[in-house]
Amino acid sequence: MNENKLKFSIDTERLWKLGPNFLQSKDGQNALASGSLKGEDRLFMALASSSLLNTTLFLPGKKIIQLGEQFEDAYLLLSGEIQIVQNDKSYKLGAGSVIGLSEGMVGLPSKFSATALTSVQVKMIPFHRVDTVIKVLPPELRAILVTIIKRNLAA
Amino acid sequence: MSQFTVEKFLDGQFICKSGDPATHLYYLQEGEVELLTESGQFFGRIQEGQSFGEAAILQGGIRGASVRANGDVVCKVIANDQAAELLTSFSPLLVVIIEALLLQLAMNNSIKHT
Repeated sequence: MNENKLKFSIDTERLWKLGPNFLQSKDGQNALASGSLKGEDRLFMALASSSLLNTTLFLPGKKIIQLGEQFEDAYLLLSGEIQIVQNDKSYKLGAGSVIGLSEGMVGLPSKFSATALTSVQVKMIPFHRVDTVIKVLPPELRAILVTIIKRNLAA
Repeated sequence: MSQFTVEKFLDGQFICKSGDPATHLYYLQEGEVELLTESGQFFGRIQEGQSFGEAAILQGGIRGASVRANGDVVCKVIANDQAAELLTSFSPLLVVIIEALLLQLAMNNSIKHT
């Protein structure tokens, strides 16, 4: 089935208007508590402003990952849209989408192909840096990661 | 890991309820818990050695499910703000990794339900 729908996208225009310090402000806390700012909005704002991740640009038509390939980096889409093809399904993802993180953390190859439909700006999460952090974690913190990864892979 | 406190729950006791403020993260040290919808319908189990409530650490908000002890249970519990401090103390990149995993989960749930 070829739906070709936009399955996930964060309203980044609205978030950028709120400004970089909104999350730390009283208004930001109130917005989170009231639900007018969703959890994924908060996560996106924090990640998009992180200085720990490098940014790169994919031009339209760029193949970001092929079916069966291993991920060397995971990607957070800051802007633009990508096309996902998985089995008989095809759909689009927009800003806020995270590609390959759970799969790459457990060494699984990609179950889909992803291609840039527009110019796509991404933050890169390199797995060699992720592995360095994971190695030293105590069991309680490792369990948190494993739980979220399992839920992602089961979704 | 002194930031974690140990809490015991008896068989059938609710550890948290759907709609409650999501203020704590739980690591299930001993036993098993059941996940229930707001209307009390069973939809999953969490086993020893796994965590629950982790989305609350970096997202806040309210609980999306109720958690009930299935048999006696021992949990290690940490408040959200302490958990965030603990994660940062290991590596600021760890916070980024968990935020990105949670955002991936939000994306996957959206893909599943649209």
